[in-house]
Amino acid sequence: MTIDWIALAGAAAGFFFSAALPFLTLRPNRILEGAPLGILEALGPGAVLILGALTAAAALSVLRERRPALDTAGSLVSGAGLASLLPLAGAAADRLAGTSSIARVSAGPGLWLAAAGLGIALFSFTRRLPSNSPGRLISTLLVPAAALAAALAGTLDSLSLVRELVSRRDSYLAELSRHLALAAGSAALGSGIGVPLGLAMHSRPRWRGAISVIVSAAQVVPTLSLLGLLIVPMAALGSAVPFLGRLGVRGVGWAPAFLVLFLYALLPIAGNTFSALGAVEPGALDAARGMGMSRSQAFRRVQAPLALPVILAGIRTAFTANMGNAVLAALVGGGGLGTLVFLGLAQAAPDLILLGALSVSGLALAADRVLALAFRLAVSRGIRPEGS
Amino acid sequence: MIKFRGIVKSYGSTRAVDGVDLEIGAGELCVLIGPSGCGKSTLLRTVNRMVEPDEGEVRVDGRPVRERPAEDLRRTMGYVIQSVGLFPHMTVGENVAVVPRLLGMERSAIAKRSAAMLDLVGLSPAWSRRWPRELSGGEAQRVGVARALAADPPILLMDEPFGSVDPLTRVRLQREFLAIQRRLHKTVLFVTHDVEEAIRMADRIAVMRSGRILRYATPEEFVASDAEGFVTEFLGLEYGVEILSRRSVREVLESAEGTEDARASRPDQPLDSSAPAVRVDSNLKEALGLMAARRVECLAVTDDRGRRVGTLRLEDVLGTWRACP
Repeated sequence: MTIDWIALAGAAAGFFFSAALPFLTLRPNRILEGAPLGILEALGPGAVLILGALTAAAALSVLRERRPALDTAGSLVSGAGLASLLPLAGAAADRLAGTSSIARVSAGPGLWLAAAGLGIALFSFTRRLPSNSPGRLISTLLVPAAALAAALAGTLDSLSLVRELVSRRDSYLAELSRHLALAAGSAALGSGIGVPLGLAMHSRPRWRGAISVIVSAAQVVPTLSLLGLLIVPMAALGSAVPFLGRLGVRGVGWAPAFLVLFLYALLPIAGNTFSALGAVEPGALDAARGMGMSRSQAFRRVQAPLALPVILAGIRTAFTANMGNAVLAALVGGGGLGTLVFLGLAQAAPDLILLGALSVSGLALAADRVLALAFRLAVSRGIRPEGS
Repeated sequence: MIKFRGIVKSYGSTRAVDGVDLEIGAGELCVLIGPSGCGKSTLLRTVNRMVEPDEGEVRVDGRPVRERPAEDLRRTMGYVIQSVGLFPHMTVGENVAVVPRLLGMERSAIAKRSAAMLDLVGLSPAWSRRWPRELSGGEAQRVGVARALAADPPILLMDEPFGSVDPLTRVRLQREFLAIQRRLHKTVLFVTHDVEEAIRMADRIAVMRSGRILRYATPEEFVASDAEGFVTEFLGLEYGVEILSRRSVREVLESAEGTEDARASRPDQPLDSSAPAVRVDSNLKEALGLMAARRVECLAVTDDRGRRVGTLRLEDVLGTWRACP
């Protein structure tokens, strides 16, 4: 067995940066420059918990060379450290902000890098544990559980990010649902059209070239340029077809953003469908036909189920990428979480930017995990990748 | 049973099959053998219409296969291929049940049938819930055979069915399949490029080259011929030794016991107890191998429990030889 270099590097860097860089910043209001606070000032005795967890994780990453069983301890320690970051920071913010309702306490680079270091150590320790081991389950559930508990208990209310969220709760929820609708809707439509396109590429060699040009063309033009290019034709379409115009199809707004996201979803979906169908083992297809399956039976019972994992992987890629790309919708007035990011940039309000960006990352991550789980269940056990 | 008449099949300018006439009797195992690209697989695939010949026709039971819908026809013929072609997303049981399901058999009948087929190839019912990726090469081939037999087709088409397993497993699969064939008497068309396999399996061998059948005869008839040319060259000089694998020591002992002089030349204990022993169910090629290895002309023959049941001499194996001129 070897030293876990990844966990060691993560924990060591986390320790160094969290001790050396500002851990929290206290600002008189949400725009003004603030005063940086080191980890000891910020957390007081709580700092021992974070620095201790980082030290222990580093030590365990070395000690596991002799006793690999220490991986469980390593993941629990890094999980506990990561889980206690948010409640500790929340409590500190509460104390620092005092009674001022406009003072802002936000996370400094020290806190982010401590979180990153602990996260890296957690990931590295956990991935070696068997997927159903209690250590793995506990250490991965610890973080969301602690965050949820702290949020419900009101410990986080004084953190700048949370204040930002609370102060614009209604518009946040509206942009969030708008974002979801844009990203998931366009990816769903992309699946509905992309899969048949991939099928056509597979079964109609003569159409293959044309389809692949169309599908990849959208991919070649940068997203932003595509949005710009669409302004004129979409505006023309909206005024030429009154029905579409009434739906809100214009040069700007939700329609061009939706169209761009849809076009971006096509390539991974159509491309994966096409290559998945072609990659089905020829022996299986020969056997299917030779045993007396008709063309459509061979497709439905053998080829399609065997191609399914790769087709679903393409759909998953499209959904995940769209969750991130949908930020750009805000640039053409399409709404979504990008609105928060760009508003934050305009106002020089870092917490607002962060609120938008973190939410987008969370959505992309959630889309990836949820679809991975759902698609795993949809694929026959006989062809599921093992150990995933 | 299966009759090829004037079969021609071209791909571009190459004639894969170039005028084949061949007749395979019911219950016979016919081996198509020849070098790669000689057209043997193409010929096999004309029987279940996976390949449609350009000229000529294939008849099964006197009826041209072209007259029958391809799917219906294929469901009456077991099909085993080298890459096994098990469907990895189906369990072993579901794989075996494919053709019965296509034929619309009842669920309970299918379950019973697939259990019986697994049993036939030596796999217990517990195997039916396994996935193909959990099987070894030999196990997968067994399942492939069970799947081909599941709907009890009168005809089996086997395209290098044991080509992708190690030599030891291959011999075991060949033996097991022969045992099954002795019970079921299917009409089998079996493609291989392995001479030893052909000798072990065949009732008749058709040697193919460049899309034509050069010779069609029983394995024994090939020995008797001293024709020069491709057939002799392809089968190899060792064919005369390989063919010994078709007879067992038991057959020799049983035929020898019938004749007076054989018994006279066979005193009860002609050998000391240190003589090398050969099992009674070994074949003559193995016995000859043992004689050559130990430099002896005589072997003790023992039964399953190691009891001495007879003696095998070199001349029993080789027959009477012509003296050198």
